[in-house]
Amino acid sequence: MLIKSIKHDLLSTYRDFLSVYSALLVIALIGPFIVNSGVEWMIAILFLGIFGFSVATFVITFLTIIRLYNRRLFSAEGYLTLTLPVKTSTTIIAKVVTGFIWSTLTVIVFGISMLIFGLIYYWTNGAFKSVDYLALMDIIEMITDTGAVWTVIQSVFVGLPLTILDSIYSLVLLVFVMTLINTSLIKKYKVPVGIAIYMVISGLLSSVLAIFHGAAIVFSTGDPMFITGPFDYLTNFGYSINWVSYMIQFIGMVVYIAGLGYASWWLLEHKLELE
Amino acid sequence: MIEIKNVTKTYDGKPALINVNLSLQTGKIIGLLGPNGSGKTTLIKILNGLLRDYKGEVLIDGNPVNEISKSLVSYLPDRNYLPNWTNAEGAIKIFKDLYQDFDEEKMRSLFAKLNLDPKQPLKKMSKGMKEKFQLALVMSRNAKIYILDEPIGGVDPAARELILKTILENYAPESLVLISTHLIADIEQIFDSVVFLKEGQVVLFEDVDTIRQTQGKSIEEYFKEVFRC
Amino acid sequence: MDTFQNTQPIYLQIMNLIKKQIATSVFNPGQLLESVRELALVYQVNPNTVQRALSELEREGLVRSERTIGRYITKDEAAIAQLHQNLVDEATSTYINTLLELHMSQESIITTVKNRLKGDNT
Repeated sequence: MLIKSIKHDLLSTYRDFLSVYSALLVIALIGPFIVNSGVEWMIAILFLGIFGFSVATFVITFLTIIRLYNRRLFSAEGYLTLTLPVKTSTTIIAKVVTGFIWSTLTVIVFGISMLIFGLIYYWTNGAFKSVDYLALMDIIEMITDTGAVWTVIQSVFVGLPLTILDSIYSLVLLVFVMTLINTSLIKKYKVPVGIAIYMVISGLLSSVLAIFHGAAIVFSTGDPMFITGPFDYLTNFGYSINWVSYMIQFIGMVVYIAGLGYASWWLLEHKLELE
Repeated sequence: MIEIKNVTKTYDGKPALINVNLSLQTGKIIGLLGPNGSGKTTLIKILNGLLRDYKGEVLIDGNPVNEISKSLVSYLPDRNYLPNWTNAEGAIKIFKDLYQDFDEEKMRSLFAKLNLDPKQPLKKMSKGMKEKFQLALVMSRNAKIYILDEPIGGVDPAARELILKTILENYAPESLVLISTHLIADIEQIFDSVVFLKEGQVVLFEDVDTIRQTQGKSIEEYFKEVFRC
Repeated sequence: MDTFQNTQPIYLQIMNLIKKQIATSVFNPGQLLESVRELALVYQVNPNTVQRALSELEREGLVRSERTIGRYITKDEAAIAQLHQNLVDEATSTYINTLLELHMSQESIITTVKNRLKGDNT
C-alpha cells in the first residue's frame, strides 16, 4: 500500500517538475556556448535566466509539495484520498516520502546542471585537450596522501544522515501545520495562522534542541569526546567529530519527526472535518 | 452490517446529528431521506471517515471506520472528487490498484452503456459526464456496501434510469446499499426501507410497503406530510 | 417501466399483475418464471419486493418452487380456474356496486351491459 500510494503521489506531481528540470538541463547545455560567444546582452539574459530558474526551481518544489498535501487531502480530492483503503499513517508517510524524493531530486538535478555547465565551459575552453596521465596520477596520489579524500567521505557519511533527517523534519513539520490548520481547531485565516504556527514551532523546537545541545557540550570535557564507533580511525587524519553533538542532533531530529508525525496522525484520526 | 450507535455531532453549538441509532442489515437497499440540513451528509461523512470528531460509535461489518471498513465501502459523494491532473484511464488505474474488488469487465461495460471515453482527460469532461464517470467507477466495484449520496441528482432521465438499473444489477443478498436522495418519487420503488432524518434525528425507519399499507400513501407523499413545516 | 403505483404496497401490485397474467393465459400452467433478480430488473423494483410477492403467491398455491427448477406457475388447473373466477367475481361486484351507487335499477344495469356488448360487436 505504501509503495502504491507513493507511486500515485509521484505520478500526480511529476509533470510540474519535468518542465523545470528540462529547462535547467537545457540552460546547462547551452549556457557555456552563450558565455563563450561573448555577446554581452545574451550573457546578461543568460544569467538572469539562470537566477530566475534557480529561484523558480526551489519555489516550484516547495509549492508542489504543499499543493500535493493540501489538494490531495483537504480539497474535493480529499473525498477520494481519504476514503481509499489506506491507513492514515501510510498516507502521511507517503506524502513525506514523496516530498523528500522531489526535494532531493531537485538538489541533485541542480548540482548536475551546474556540473555540466562547468564541464562544458572548461572543455570548450581547452581544459581537457591534452591529458597528462602521469601528472594526473601524481595529483591523485597527492590528494589521497593528505587524507582529503577520507575527509570528504567521512563528512559525507556523517553529514548526510543529519541532512536527510533535517529535510524530513522540515517536511513533517509542514505536514503537521497543514493538517492542523485544516481541522476543526482552526477555523479562520488558515494560511496566515499556518505560516505563523510553522515559524513559532520551528523556532521553539530549534531552541529546545540548542539548549540540550549546549548543556551536553558543557557537561562533556570540553574536548571532543570519542565513542567507539565505526569512524574513529578516521581521526588519524586530524578530523574529529563531536559525537555528543552529533548524537544529540540525531536523536533530537528523530524525536521531533516521530512526535510531529504522530501528532499529524492523531489530528487526522480524531479531528478531521472535510468540508 | 452497519451499526450506528448514539451518534451525536455538533458544529459550533448547532446540532447536526442527535443521538442517531440505526442498524442497517445486509441484502437491503435503504433510502436515507430528509431535507437539506437534516444531517444526511454529516452521517454519510462519518460512515466514510471524512468526519472524525463526533460522539458515539460506528461499526461497519464489525470494524470501526478505518482502512478495512473503507475497503468494504464503495462511496459516491455528491460532488466531483476526481483529480484534474489525470485522464479517465488514470483514475481507473487508481481504483484498480487500490481496491481488490474492482471489476474491470463491469467497468468497461458500464462505460460503454454510459457513453464514456476512458481516454478523455478529466479536465475536458462536462459536469454531467464527470458525474456519470464517478458513478461508473463506484459501481464497478463488487463492494459489500454502497453508499450513494444523491446519485440521480444532476443527470438526465435516461441516465437516471440506467443508474437505477445499475444499482439493481449490483444488488446482491450479501450487500447493502444506502442511498441518500431528495428525489423520492423516481427512486422509491427500489427501496426496501427508508430512514427519515429530521433535524438530525431519526423520526422513522420502516419498510416501504408497510408505510404504503398503513398510510395509504406513496413514500414521497408521506415524506411531504412528515416534513411539512 | 412505470407499471406500479407508489401509493400501494408494491408487492401486492406485483402479485395482482401476475395473477392477472395467469388468469388471462399470458402465463401458462407450469410455465417457468424468471428469477427474482431478472423480474426485479424488468419491473425496476427492489428484489426483496419481488421475493415477497412470489412467496405470497406460493402460499396461495398459484406459484410453486422446486430447488432444481426454480419457480413456476402451478399446474393445478382447478386453482387457476378458481383464480379466474375470483377475478371475474371481483370485477363484476365492482361494476355492479358502482352502478347501484349511481342509483341504476337492476333492469337498466342488464340493458346497459347488453347494449355495450352489442355495440362492441359491430
